[in-house]
Amino acid sequence: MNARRSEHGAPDARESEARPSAVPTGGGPDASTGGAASGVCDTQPSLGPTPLRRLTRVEYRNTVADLFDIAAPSSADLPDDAADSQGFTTTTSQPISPEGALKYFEVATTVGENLLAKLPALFPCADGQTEDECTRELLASTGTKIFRRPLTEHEQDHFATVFAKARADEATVDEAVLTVLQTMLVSPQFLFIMEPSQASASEPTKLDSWQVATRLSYLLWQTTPDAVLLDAASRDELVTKSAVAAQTARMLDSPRAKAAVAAFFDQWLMLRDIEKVQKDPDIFPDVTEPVVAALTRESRTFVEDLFWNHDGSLGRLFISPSRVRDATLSEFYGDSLSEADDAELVEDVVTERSFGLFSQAGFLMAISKNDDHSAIFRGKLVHSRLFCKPIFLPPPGVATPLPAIEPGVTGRERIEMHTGSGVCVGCHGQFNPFGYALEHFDATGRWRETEGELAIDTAAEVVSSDLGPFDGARDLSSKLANSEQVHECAVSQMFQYAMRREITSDDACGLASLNRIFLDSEQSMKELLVAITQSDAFFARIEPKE
Amino acid sequence: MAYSPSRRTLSRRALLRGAGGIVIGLPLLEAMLPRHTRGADPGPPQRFLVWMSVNGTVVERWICPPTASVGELQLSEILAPLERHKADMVGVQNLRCPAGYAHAYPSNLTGQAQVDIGYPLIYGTGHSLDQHIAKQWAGRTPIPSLQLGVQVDSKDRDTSACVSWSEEPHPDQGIANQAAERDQAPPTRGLPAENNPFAVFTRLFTDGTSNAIDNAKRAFSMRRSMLDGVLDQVPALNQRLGRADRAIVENYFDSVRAIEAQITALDAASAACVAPMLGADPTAADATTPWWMEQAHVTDVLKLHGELIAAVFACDLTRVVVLTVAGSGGSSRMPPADLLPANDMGDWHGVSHAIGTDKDKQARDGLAAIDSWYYDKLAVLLDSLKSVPEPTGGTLLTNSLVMSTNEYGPNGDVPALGLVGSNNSHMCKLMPILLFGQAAGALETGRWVTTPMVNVEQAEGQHINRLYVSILNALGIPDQQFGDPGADQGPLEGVFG
Repeated sequence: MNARRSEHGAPDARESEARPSAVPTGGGPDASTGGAASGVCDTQPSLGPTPLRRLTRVEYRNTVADLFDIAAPSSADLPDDAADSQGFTTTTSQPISPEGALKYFEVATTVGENLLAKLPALFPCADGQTEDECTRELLASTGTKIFRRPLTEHEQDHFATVFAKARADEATVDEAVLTVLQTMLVSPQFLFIMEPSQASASEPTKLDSWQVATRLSYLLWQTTPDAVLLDAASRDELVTKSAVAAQTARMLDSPRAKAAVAAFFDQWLMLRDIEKVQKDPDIFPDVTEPVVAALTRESRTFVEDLFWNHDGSLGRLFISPSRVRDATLSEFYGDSLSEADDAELVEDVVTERSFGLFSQAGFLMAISKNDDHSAIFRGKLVHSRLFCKPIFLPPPGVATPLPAIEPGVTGRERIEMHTGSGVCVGCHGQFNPFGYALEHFDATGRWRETEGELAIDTAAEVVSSDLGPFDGARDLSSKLANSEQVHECAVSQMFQYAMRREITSDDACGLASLNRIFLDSEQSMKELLVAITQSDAFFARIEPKE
Repeated sequence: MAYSPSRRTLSRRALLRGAGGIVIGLPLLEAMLPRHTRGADPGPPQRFLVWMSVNGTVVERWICPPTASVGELQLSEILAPLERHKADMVGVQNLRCPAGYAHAYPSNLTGQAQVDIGYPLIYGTGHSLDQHIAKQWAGRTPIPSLQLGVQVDSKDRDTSACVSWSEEPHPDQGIANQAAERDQAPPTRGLPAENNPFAVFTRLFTDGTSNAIDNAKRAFSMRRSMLDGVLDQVPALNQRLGRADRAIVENYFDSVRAIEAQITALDAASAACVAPMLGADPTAADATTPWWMEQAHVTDVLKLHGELIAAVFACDLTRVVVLTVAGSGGSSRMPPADLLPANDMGDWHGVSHAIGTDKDKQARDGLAAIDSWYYDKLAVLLDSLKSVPEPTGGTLLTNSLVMSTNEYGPNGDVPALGLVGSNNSHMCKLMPILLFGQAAGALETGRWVTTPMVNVEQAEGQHINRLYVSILNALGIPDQQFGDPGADQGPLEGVFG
């Protein structure tokens, strides 16, 4: 899967990806009809393939820190993550170069250096015990934690031999122990999330408790299973949904879950791009670094509050009385909602210019081009991330730069003249209009009544959507909040993130169930996350056919 | 190797941080691992070594016939001991050094007139060739350069008997003021030679509590164990994986195998890095003169220095070494007494001054014998370099450039080269320069180069700075000028490619 940049210079690297067909958005057979065609879903396995993936940087760092109670290695010392078709960096199935492998070796060696002081506790080896006995105890205790499951007999013999060979090579006991631990840290059993393999490719294979513990732990806490999970796994409890439900509730209750949830919104809604916003200070002097930092905090705090205190209500993402303000933000927005040094949550009336995600300046700047704002880019975000529709590259030979700015012509009109006909309108007609609705928000993401002296027209429609006509950002937002297509897209976005893999047509039935749950919960993203951990897909794996 | 039971740090980084003086570099590690590759330093590292002798030579018995092509080199009487190394040698004849009558060490490698405010207060100015190279190569090795010596007297080790000069201003402002009063160039800081090989060994190769090379090798062997520990699992893992998963894990194993190849190369490099077995300093507790300062032990000390040099190069502790085989001028000791001619002309220095007197013939014979004796010791040092294989092929000498040179050229007339009517004292022309080693492909050896005269009446050839420029270029430093800006500039033709 390659990410080619569109000739439009779009910031969204995944635009060229066509999502596999039959993902149930806007009219798939079983999508929104809660179970009407459940006969089909009863008989066919509903599970897309899970390619073997390895730990992301965040996961690796957290894992090492939690395994050994040492400082996490630096991200720069680890191989890069890559983004999948939806921009999530959790699907690390890309190949590792020798330089990447070397990084793993170097980091493992650094970890070993930091472990020296802890060796007496890791390898207590009492008098009267042979070194081999002590080594096997190490493998049973620490080894199980590193591989996230008990070692097989063959693995135990193998690593006991690693120890013995090191000793035969005149290593000290300490050095031999470190050799074993470091070797485990560069073994595939640690680096990769290994799930049932070599199974029949047509039947999903159920995960064992250890594998469920691993999925749950990396999903909710971005780290290796803790002692409670490992304990439950050792009693093979995690193969029942109720046991998993209890663990999920426990883990969601912990502050450790915040980072994983934040990462989802960061990647889904491109909130992580807010901090990269840079405006020409001559043109936009009040978009300073502190302002950009404050705007980043605003959107992240907004979604965090939304998820944990309001059940992750999707509707509230779009239309909400909650505002995040501090003195910097109040000054920037020109309201007087807060004079605090630190960001706080306040409530305010919903108006045309202040209502939810699409009135947040940081978010709007992040999804626009840097030098100006672009209805096209804003529209693309809605189209791809909220409707889960692909964006294709323009045909070769199509002139892409917009014509020169003429007086008396609004930005919208200029774009419409350029893209509103011929080969262009087929695609652009599907996403530009979303951007037109946002035209009252300028290049700094703030309200403008007019465009210079020109009136702004924000009435538009995307015929292929279920929104109907809309006028203005607030109206668009409230229609997005109620759109079945958007609901289904949100479900599949979270599913893709949570399952760490691309969605395929085989996931149709699983997604249909989740759509029903999402509907019943009134679009609670928190319930959805829990539902994913309760879904059949979470307890099974199909290996890719290759 | 013996194994200490104590638990100690393995960390390569901890070693390099130099706890209590440990300074060790894993050989070629930084140069060979791809993520450390710096664009400017591809291929095996080049090393630079200067062998500095004293009192000039008997030039007409030193020069060899010019070679039209490689392999024709016929060694002169004085150079006969180097027969086994002549395929690795290039003779460079006729160059001149900055003028300096007495004590020309400080001007020799700097290529500039020295600062003289009255013996022994003689200083270099600017930087010497070795220090300039060391500065260009800064950061590649734990130690920028090493200065070794044999019986370089303490009273003038950092002045008139000093050949290595850094470009830092001399720390003594009084000295600088005196030089300024005499309208001389500003003196810079000299790096004195160390005469005691045992002290050098201790400083470089041990940390006082354990053998640093041993530690580095153990850290190394742990990495090998990790590699083996991973790759040995391949069959068992592959058995348990389906095709798609196996392809992904195989990609990882392939990358691990790729770094195995690099680690194997590093292993070969580290095998060459062996701490030299110098033994303990034999100086008796009540001795007034250290063992390594005694005339009888010059041969042994030179051999020990040779082993140190081979080891520091093999372990990549440094890539720049200057070995001064005797103190300057009158402070030089005598070589073994049986080399001195029957008529008493005093010490080595005295022999050189007897040229052009009524004892001219015996003096020339005596000096020729002494120089030949030292070239025999140089041959032993070259043997040491040749005994160390390099992981990229060849030996240390293959990747080194060794320059054998002298404070002076002739001490009297050299009719064969048109030098007559001289004042029969040390002269800084017709310098006896020899180059050894291929400098990792930069030098074609087995030749004798007769560089052209600039002033035939005075028998003056081109300025040695031109050779220094060529040496810099061969070592990857593109300077077009070195030393005295008023002297000849630009590289010297005919020596390097």
